[in-house]
Amino acid sequence: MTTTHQNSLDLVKSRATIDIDQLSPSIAEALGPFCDMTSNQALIAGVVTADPDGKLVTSIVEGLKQDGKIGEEGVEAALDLLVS
Amino acid sequence: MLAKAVNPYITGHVHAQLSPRYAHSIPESLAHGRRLIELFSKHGIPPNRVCLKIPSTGAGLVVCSQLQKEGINTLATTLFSVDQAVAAVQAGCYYIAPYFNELSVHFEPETWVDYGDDTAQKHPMCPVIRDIVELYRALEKRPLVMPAR
Repeated sequence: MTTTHQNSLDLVKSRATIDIDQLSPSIAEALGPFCDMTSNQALIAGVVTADPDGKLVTSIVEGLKQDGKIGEEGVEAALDLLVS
Repeated sequence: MLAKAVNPYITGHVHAQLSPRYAHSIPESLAHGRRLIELFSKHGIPPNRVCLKIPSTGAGLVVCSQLQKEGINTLATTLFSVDQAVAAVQAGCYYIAPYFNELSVHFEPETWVDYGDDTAQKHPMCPVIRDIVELYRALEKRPLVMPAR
């Protein structure tokens, strides 16, 4: 038997364009599709501080160090890599 | 890495914000924007799917104008006034993001003001955003309005 389940998000999506205001692949997969993905440095900070084992940040920092990017240049490159 | 992972579930743009430290420098902002576009391309997201968020300073809006001419869509952010919204039209921005709340409310909860059941009348940004929307309605070529919460 097939049932059609419409939640409140589906209802809003049928009437408006909805963006995702999170840098979250898991939320995007669970609740998508969306139109745009917004982002800013505060949202990136949220992802970084929620990283349970720090593996994502550690791997990015290690990679950038190998490229000789340290200090402020390294921080900006890490933010850019995370968002892209 | 995050946009690359989210991209399969997105039909429009992925947004990336230029560093606020370059908010008053045209060449630094342009260079940062181009670095971001190159990174997104490396991650399989072409320039026409990226929107660069740029502070609505004098320099920032010049950068928006230049990037739009190069085919890169821009969003004018840190936008608090009708004047900035007019400048964003002149720059050809694809979006504007007028701030609704103060940014601090996300980090210092005590700065959030409860306007009760009369937010539309009492919140200081409501008339600003209303004026911007009314102004834009009279224009044929206008940015989309994406208020920031």
